[in-house]
Amino acid sequence: MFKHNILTALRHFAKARAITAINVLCLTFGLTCFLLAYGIIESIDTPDIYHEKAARTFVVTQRSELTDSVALTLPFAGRAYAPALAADYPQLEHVVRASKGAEIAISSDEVKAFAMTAYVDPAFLDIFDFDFLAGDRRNALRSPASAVINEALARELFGTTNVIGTALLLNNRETVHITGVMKSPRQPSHMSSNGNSVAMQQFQLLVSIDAWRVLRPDAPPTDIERRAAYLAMNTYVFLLFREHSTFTPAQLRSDLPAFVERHHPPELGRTTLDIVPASDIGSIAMDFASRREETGLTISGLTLGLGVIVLLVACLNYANLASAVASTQLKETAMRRVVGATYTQIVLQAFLEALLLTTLSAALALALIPLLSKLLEVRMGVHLYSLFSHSLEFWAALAVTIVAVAALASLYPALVAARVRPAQSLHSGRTPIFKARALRALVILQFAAASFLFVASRMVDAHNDQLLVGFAAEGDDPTVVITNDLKEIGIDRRLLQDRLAIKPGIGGVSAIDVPPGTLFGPTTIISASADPGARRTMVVAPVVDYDFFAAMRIALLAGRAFDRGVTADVSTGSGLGNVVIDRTFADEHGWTPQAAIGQRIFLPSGKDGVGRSSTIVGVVENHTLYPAKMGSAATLYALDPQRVTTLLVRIPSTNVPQSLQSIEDTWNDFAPRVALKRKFLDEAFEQSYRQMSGMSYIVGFLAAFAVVIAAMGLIGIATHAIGQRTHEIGVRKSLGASVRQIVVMLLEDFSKPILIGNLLGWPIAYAYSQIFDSVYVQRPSITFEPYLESLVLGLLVAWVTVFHKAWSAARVPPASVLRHE
Amino acid sequence: MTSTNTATDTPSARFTIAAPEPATGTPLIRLDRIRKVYRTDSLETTALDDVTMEIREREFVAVMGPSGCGKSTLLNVVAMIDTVTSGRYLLGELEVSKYPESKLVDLRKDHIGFIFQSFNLIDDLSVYENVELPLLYQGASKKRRQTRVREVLELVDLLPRARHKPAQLSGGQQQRVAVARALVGDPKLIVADEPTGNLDTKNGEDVMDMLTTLNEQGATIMMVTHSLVHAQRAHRIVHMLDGRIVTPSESH
Repeated sequence: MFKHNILTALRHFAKARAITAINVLCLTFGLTCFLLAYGIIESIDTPDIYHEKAARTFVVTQRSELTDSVALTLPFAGRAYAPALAADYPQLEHVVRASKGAEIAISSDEVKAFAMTAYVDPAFLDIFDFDFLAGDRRNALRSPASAVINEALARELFGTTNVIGTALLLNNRETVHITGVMKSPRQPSHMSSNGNSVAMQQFQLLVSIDAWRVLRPDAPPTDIERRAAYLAMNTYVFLLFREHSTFTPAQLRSDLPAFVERHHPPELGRTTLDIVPASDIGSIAMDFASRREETGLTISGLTLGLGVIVLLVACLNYANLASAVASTQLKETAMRRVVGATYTQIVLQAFLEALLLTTLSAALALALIPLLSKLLEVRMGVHLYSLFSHSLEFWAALAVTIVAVAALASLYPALVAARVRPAQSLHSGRTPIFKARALRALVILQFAAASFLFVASRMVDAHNDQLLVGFAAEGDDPTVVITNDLKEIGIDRRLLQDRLAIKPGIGGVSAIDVPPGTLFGPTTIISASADPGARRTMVVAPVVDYDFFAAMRIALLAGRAFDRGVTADVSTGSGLGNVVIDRTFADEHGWTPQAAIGQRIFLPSGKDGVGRSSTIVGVVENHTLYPAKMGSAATLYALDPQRVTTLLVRIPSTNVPQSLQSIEDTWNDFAPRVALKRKFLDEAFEQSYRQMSGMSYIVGFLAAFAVVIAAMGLIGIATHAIGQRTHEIGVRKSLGASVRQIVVMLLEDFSKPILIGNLLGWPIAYAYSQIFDSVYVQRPSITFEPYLESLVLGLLVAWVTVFHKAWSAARVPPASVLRHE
Repeated sequence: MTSTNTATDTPSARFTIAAPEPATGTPLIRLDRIRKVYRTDSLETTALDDVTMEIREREFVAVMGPSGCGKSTLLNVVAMIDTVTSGRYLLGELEVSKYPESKLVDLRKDHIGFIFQSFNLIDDLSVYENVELPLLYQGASKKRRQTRVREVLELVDLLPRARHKPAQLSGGQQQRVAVARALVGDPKLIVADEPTGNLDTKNGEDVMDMLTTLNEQGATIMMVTHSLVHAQRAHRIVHMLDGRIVTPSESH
């Protein structure tokens, strides 16, 4: 019987070749999208599982409740906790710090360049298994001032990997010697050496932690530096539990509140520490990106959801086409029922056919994925195929997916075909077993899903485009951002700034703490009043110098900018000086720009206290410095010439090369051995845009697939539906209908499900776009363009795919149709 | 049934065995006040109205009547490919009127062979495969299927065409394949719905010869026909009008 079922399936496929091909193609697309989504999630959610000690490796996470509504949990912890953890819990095999990779200036006798550098405890190489080309992979960082260089960087700088013993000058201050050459970390990993945008930790150089100057300050730490030691998000703290130890992660976790009580300075506000497996680093970061605590969504969930939607569209498409084919096989089905086929046998035949096609499609999808994964690697730094080749779980999940897809896709046509009433079907072959309404509903759902994905991708694009719109307002003269860490290099920022300001080809020079264009800018918590219970909000809070507003051409709306003659303007370590706010800040407090002047704002000290207050002396126009926000989009500017380390140089657009040369020459006077790290402000925004565009890319990619699947399904449905109406068309023509009228009638019929599908998909797309609003500073104004585009595209697709069939059917002479009947 | 070659060369001539028993067997099928009503959203059609009749074993019954009188509906009900709205249907001692479709399928495949006016062969299957189909659904072993299919194809003189597709056969040959398919499962009752309706006179006669011979060999046959000539081959003619069984005088 099974052989008969297989043969029957093959015969059905051969009989409806075009529809079979469409089904295979659509299922292949759907499965490809789903598997890609799965692979992306696996890549993000389970990195570093191949390290030998992965099961025993945990990372400390820190949750800080910044305001009543904003809390952050990230896989970083204050570096000050690491020595305390090691002292309090000697049962741990290792407590290892690793700074977040940062780009620093490096130079040797022959070269000067920049390298992503992470400072790590020596045991970092005990915990993680890296492949070394030279040097001792376990002990390479045990000697002071040692460094392990990435193979690619070694070749780039020296043309060889034979570099053991070579001296490198870091940030013009610290000399280290290369003791090892390593390959890039195996993927998927939270670590990368090649600018992978998904990996959180990027390094081309690992340096022994004794060389990290922040641990050896020249002077006693300021309040800010002390705060950074406990709250800054720039250090990983890894814990390696001993093998077969009785001291478990659960035990440590339960003691962490007491640990925090013992070691966390109370004036720094409340914090919570936790430990999670190191393989969860990716998912924690993604939860942060999706603001999971506020939105309830995870990037993994969103990505998988999108993949499921496209697969669902493919299943709906199959259901539609299979129903259409089954309706031409009613007599055969009825005959089989007459001679003894049971309901179950009919259903199983339909399921078997779906299973065969789905299995073939899965094989094609697996063949496509290596090609697509290269694309994803380049665009998003996500590595897929290596997962598939050695994950038994994946193959089991794939088998289940194939069965589930086959079952879902064949469900409707199978159940309805099995309910064929032989008496009706055999004696009057035109009995519509498959209700036209049900088939239409499937088309509607397909286009609803495609419409949702299309509108969602356009909304995400619009949000990303807004970054550049927000930035472009600065005017014609470009701004160069010098991002070398001047303090680290030992350059006097004011001296350099003054020297640049008088150079030919320089329009204006100012400084800021965090470079504009960085994805998330600096923030602070402010309170509406001195009342300790007053509502707190997080605002953007860059620190600038005196010349900032003039150099950046930010218009003053009321009051004044910072004044060199007013000492109260200067913020110091112990208190915030006078502040300047932007229009949004004033609006959110219910002030006109003029009314805001003289108002006081309050800075909380700890969760429940209010420490300091400042006076607003000026209100400026809104100006986007940082694309994404964590709280309010309002900006509060503070003045502290000591803290600003990033120079902003405005140059006239009339002779950019000369201006750039002036900057270069001035720099070389100050730091001849350090490469100048500069970029244009629009480049900085573009980089941030690229980081955010990963999601846009995925959604757009999936939307394109969904539209293609829906379109191909429409071809099949059109073929069948128009074929079923041949008699009707013949009658209409015999009564006087023209070809044009017939074609318009058929196109109108196919337009209705597109219209209804769009109306269903739009509200869901709108809700999706609202989620993105919560992350971005600039919200694009709501337009109907994406929705209209979706409808127009859907109609265009429908008309193009259906027109030829409609035209051919409309031109058949009625006599030939009616004679046949 | 066994087959014996005779001097004549028609397929029906193969159907000769021992002398048949008289058509006075026990009731095989009893219909008692059967009603069949078709309902749509706006319309209700009574196809069978209070039909009561019996078919005895080894009986050959012909059903006649004008178009739309319910002949085919009666046939469908008797063949259990359609259900009744009310009334009782007994197959032997089994009352099948309330059986669900799943049980009717089991009874159908074991007891009923159906011959249609338009043959209703499956175009993608060969002659052999079409005839084999009922045995597949009965769960017969491969050996039994092979043996039995060869037997019935020999009976209808189409064994040489076993690998042909229906489209490669004439109308008469296709109907013979349909007869073979109806016989292959050793059914108790053969139901034929205008089996000669799509055939020319000669082929129609051949099919009727086959049915007559099968009946003489012990098969119970119920046949719907428009042809009085063919109907007169039956033991009994049942006339229908407007969903009811009428006497011959009432049908005019």
